[in-house]
Amino acid sequence: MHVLEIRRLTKKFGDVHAVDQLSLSVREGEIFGLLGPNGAGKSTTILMIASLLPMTDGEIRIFGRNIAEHPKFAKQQIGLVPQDLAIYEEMTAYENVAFFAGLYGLRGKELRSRAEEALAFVGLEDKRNRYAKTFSGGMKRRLNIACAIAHRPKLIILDEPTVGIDPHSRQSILSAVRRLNEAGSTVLYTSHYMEEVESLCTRIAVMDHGKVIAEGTLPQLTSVVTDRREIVVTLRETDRVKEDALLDIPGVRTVVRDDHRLLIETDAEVNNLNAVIRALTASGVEIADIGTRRPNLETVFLSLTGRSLRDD
Amino acid sequence: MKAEQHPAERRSIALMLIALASAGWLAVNAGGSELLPECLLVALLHVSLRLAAGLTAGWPRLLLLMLAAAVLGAGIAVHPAFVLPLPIIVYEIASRIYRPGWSILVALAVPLPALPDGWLLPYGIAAAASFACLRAFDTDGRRIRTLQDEMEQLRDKLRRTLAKLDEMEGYVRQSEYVMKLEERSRISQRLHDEIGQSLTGALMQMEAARRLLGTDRAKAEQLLQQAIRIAKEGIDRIRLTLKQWKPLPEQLGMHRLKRLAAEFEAQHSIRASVTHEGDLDRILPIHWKIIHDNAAEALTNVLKYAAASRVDIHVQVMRAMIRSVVADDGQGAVRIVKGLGLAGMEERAAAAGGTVIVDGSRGFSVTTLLPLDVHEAGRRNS
Repeated sequence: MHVLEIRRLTKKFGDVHAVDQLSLSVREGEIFGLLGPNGAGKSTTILMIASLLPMTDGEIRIFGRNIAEHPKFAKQQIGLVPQDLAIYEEMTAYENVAFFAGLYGLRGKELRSRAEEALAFVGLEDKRNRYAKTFSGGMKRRLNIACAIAHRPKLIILDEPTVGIDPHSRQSILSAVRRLNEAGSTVLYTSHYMEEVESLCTRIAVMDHGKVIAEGTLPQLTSVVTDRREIVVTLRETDRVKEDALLDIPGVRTVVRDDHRLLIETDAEVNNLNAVIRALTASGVEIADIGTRRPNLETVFLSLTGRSLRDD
Repeated sequence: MKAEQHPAERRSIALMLIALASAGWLAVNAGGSELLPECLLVALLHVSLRLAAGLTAGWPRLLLLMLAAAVLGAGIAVHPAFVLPLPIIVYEIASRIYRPGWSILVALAVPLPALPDGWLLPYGIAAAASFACLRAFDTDGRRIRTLQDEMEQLRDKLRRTLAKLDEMEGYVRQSEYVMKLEERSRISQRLHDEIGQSLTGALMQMEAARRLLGTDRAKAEQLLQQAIRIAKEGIDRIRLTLKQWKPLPEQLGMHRLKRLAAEFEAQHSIRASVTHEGDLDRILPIHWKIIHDNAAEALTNVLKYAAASRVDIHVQVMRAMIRSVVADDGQGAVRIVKGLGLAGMEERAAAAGGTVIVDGSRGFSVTTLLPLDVHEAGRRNS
């Protein structure tokens, strides 16, 4: 069952297409990443999914139901963590969470227990009675997440939740997202940080100029642009390496040696690491380090658009 | 011959009319109002003579101008104010006789002894003013004539160049036709050599076999066998030939793209280049069509909006995607409004499951992304 289905979604501001015939679907249990540079249309798409912005054309379905026909149902399924903080500075952490949970129809005992649970989830339970205005940027972000998840939404949407915060809070937020996913929520995550998306997301859509230009798992996406990977071997000395022996290994395309390293380009689909190690040890060289390099999402984006993700 | 009416000349007529009008005004205000009919008569006579001179050329014109000068001279007797337009007509007469320079001042000094008392200063001022103005007109006139001559020459040159171009185009068409004919004759020659001979050989064997059919069956069978072999070989050879001769799709596609760029560069003096990377063999004819059509459309847009000095077309074949970019170094666009052109490109790309991205942040670029069939690619690799 698709948690979220978007078909030919379009948003025009005047004559300009912010989102252009966008189609994608998110399956249950996924952490779906929406990756693209600033201005690619990620936030506009998310605002339309959350019914906070009217669409110009297209269709959005949550659990198979059109959000235009079932707005209330759709809103209850979604927990939106917006890019701009949506918390009240003059209220305590607990009051903030309880207020937003109340908006989703929770009452009494259930409301209290869910609010506590949400605060504990983001690690703010011991700061429940502190005013939000006294929080650091990272803590405010975490509170922002707590407010969005107290009503236990099935689809959690996070719009650039790690922009402009310290590394510690970032790790804490990423781990919270993983735990939410493990607890059964489907996650839609947008970012222009490719490392986050690579490490967090099970499936990724790459967006640019309001369109999805590629979609799939990380290996699928990288295999769109190339079918090679690189084995990097660090050696004490490279003189004794027999290149011919390496080139005879199935899948190996080129061998380049520099100072203390061997760069072996090989077909990505052939598993030949063992054979490479055997060939090297047979020639009597000592391996100090070995690793493989695959093209990353930055490479994918660059190859498809000719521009860098961080062209701001 | 129709008299040449130059702008400078028309201006000098206007100047003369103004001078006459002021003379008339002076005549009235200097208390000579009783002389008005005479003054008007002199003025009218002068103007009509001058206008008549304007309509003629050569000696008749000079004669008429001199008559006009004489009328003015006589007019001085009626009223001294008629000395005022005198310098203009003197200048004109002098300029008809020889190319006027500073020496014309001498000609302007000719009427001095005949001047009435007290009119030396006004005549001097009028002479200086006329000299300055008319000399300026002359200079302008000469410049205009030079420019006109130049334009005439350029027009002539253009006409000749166009004619030459036309001729060259004809020649190109002719050569294309000749090349096609040559190609055709080569193909027919080869067909004749390859298939004709084997068919003839096979036919002869078969004829022989038919004759032997009744008498020597074994021999006939052998001959038939040979005929079959010869025919088969001929067919194989012709198949091979055709395969060798058929241009590869990537040669056609790249060639057409390069020609598109070259034509664009020649017609619009915007530098255009085509580059590629990756295995062009994997691009299917349907992809080439989309790449070519979208590039043509993008070039049209470059011409219409970009104000660019160069445009680069790049085709890159990746593992599962073809990327074709047309990027210019023009002014770009902050807001991109989708017109018919862009919509058409998107439709073409979508028909093959692809997308089009336009970016106006650094110059303007149109990127067409077309998916390749990876399974197909896998089969080819294995």
